[in-house]
Amino acid sequence: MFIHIQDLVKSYSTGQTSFLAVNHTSCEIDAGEICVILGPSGSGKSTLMNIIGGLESADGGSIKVDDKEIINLNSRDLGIYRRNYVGFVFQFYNLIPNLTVKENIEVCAHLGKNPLDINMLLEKVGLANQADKFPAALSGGQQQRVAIARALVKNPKILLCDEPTGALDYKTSKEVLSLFNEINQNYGTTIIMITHNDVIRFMAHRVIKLKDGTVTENCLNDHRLSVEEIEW
Amino acid sequence: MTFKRLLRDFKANLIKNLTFILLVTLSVSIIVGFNRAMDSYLQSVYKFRAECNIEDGQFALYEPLSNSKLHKLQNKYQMTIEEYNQVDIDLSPKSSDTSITLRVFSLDQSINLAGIAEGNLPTDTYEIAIDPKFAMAHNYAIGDTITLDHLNYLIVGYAISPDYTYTLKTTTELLNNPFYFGVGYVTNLGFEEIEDSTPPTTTYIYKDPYHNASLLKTYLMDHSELSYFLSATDNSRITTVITDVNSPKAIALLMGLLLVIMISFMISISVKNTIANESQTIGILYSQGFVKRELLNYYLLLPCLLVIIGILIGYPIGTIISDPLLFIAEVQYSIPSVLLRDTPFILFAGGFLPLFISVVITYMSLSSALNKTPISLLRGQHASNHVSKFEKYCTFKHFSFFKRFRLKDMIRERGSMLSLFLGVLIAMFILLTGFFLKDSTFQYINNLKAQIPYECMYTFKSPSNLNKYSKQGEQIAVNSFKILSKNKLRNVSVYGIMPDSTFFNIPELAALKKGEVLMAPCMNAKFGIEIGDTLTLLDNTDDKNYLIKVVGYADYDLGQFFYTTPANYNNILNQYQSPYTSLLTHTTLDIDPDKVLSLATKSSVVGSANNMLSMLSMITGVMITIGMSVLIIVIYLLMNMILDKSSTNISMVKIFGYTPKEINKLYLNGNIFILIFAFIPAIPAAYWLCKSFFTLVLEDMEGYIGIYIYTKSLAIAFGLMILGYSASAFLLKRKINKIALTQALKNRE
Repeated sequence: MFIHIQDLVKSYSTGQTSFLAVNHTSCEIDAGEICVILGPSGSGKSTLMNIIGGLESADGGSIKVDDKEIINLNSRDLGIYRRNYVGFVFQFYNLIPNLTVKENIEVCAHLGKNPLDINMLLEKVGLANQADKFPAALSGGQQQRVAIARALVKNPKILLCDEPTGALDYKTSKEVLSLFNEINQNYGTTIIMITHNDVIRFMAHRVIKLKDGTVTENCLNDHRLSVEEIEW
Repeated sequence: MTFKRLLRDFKANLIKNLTFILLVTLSVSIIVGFNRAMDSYLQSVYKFRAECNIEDGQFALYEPLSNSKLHKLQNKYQMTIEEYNQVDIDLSPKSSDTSITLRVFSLDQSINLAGIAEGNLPTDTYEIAIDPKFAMAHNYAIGDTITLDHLNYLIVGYAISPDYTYTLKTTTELLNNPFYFGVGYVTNLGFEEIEDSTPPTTTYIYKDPYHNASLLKTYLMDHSELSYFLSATDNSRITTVITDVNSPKAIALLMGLLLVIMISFMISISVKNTIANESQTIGILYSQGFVKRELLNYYLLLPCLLVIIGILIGYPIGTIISDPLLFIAEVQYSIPSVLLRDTPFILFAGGFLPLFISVVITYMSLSSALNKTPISLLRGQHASNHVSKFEKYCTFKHFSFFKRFRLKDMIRERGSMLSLFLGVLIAMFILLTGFFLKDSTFQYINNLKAQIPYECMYTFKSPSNLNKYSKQGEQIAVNSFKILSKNKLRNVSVYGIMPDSTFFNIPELAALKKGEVLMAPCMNAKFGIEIGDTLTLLDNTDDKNYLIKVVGYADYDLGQFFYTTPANYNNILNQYQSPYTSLLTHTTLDIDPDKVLSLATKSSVVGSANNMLSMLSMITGVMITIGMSVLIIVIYLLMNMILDKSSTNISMVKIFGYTPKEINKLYLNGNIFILIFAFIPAIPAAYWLCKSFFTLVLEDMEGYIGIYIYTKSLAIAFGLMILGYSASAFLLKRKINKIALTQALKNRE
């Protein structure tokens, strides 16, 4: 397994009270999979993704990525891990407003050992003619495409997407999801996607359901649908 | 409720807010401290002059006036005219070329009454009161004895003469030095004792309530031999203090207010950042019916509070430091006592003005920040997403990504960058001004040492006296005139020197034609006289005019001098007798002091300049300390605020896997260029300030100090700036390390 999570624990304390965001969770994700993590608010899906992405530390348990334990890494090594392995796509794009589309992608281009060609990526995400525009001049869907291209440019092994269609309309959401499918097929990137939208699970190879910080379901989807077939 | 929120806001950025208060405190202390000290000093000068009935002018005649003539003149011109007798006692050590003179006056005057700083005025024949600076320079204490012409006088007090506020031996000297010259007062009987061995010089002092001095001058020129006529307004011993004390006051006010403007911009940026962060809350408040004025009033509260606290702390500190700051004037000038007091102007400049400036700048800045619709604020669509035309225009296509990123970020944060630029500019301006003042004076001293070609210059009372000693040195002609420059009459001297002089090396003199002169370089710098100008020399004594033409420079910058040959000198003055008045020598001569009108020695001139340097060293130290403090605070605060605004982006690039080194490269290191850009214009700005300072100070003095800065000083100033930057960058790197990765994950549109 490419990602192996074992008995993972993460708690937060607010003043005198503390709660377990991830409660002795175990699951596995294989390389090249599209994994959709589902769950209600507060179920621990964002925390789990942050720990997989090396953004937060865990209190206990183990996460092995590509056979390397990341739980005990210090902040410097976690930085190197994120740099070499992980690309992030956020719900609200988080583009740098004063950089052009191309420059926003360039931000991550030099981080990878084997970066992808920016112009080719712009072609791929359908923004070749918008390269010199600023984010404010783009639609939400276009901005998310830039964010995806930015995450992808360093050619990461894992793409972590936090509600990537949460701020998009139906049509644009479908376009973005199609793009993820395409990336997965073309580059073999492992994509882990957090979403509230239950139907997105139909496009995934794997679906993990969380509740109260615990995995309630971790199953492979044997009857994947194409994005065009998914409706909500 | 508002107060609680205010307190919370204050505590939330405690260090930043305390630093703002510190800066306001510093600015107000500077304004109040200097203005209170200098204003009080000037008021004390005016009070002293009024109490001591200071002269309106003085004159000297070749033949003394009879009593009846004196009365006649007084009645005719409705003036009070008094004889003003003085004896110059030579206190120079026997085996030394140092010339030390104590000028002794009689207390028998109704004009220019002596003021007492400590002790008493003399009442017995063999008692004397001397100038406190002269006493200090020679370690004379009250109760000591001083020997004047073999007579012992008991020092009973420290007395000050109102017409010797600046104790210059001659009014043509540039700088004083209390070691070489001082004044003293004895009783009438005591003066007669001295007169017996040393004949006095008699001048006349007058009070002129009806402004008839010019009529008297004309009369004296027509009816007797007027040696000189000097109104109090032309007397550098009297006037210098006014301009000299006013200049640090003006500089302190300028610097203090510049600092206040800079702080106000910094506070505005900080509050604007708060508004941007609270845009959604503001949107909710707008949608609930709050109006812009109410929010503006609220957001102005904290800046006002910071400035008011700064004023409340700074004002008393300024009041306290005004006492030690008096040294700036006291080290040079003599008045009996200074009563420190507040004036409405100090309250205005140190209290009201900083608050007013701050409110206006913050109001204007915040007003636009709150000019948004509730919807855009609720959605968080504040200015951070907007890309201006200027930003779009600056593509920096030919730069590498990192450079492009930094440049674009600088343009994005141009408000903060401009504040950083101005802040560093002001700080460097203060710092460099300190170096300029020190180096200019140091250079001036070096020039004097290198250029004064003689050890002694004796000016004799009559040509016959000079003839007796002419073989012991080189004769030159020297005379004082006035020229009209910049709508003011200025004192200048014309030197008649042989082209083959063994003292002055000015071979160009040989080529001078009739009426032509060379000028000292300072004549161009101070008065703007150009080569080719024709000038009119006004004779101080007989009101005759003479024309001269300036045809070049002489490589001697010793004062407001023109140089020509003795023959040409006579030619210009249309005179046929021997032009020589003075004798240059390499050693001290044994000359009867009665024959000598004045003696200028190289050591006394250099000593006076050294005296000024030691005073300026203190000012320089204060300026360098203030400049350095402002520099570190400004760099840290502004870079901190810039980082605050970029914290989400920093968090994001951290998520992407940027190393701390790369993040510093993107967000921190680029600021060094702003500092360098600020350093470069700070040099001419400080040059301009120093030039203005010296122009003001030397306006009424016969001399000029060129503005210099040594490369070493520039390097030190630059090094201090880099040191300040490095210290701030070190602290800010820790701040960058502390920015949480999760910050970028928070919702934002």
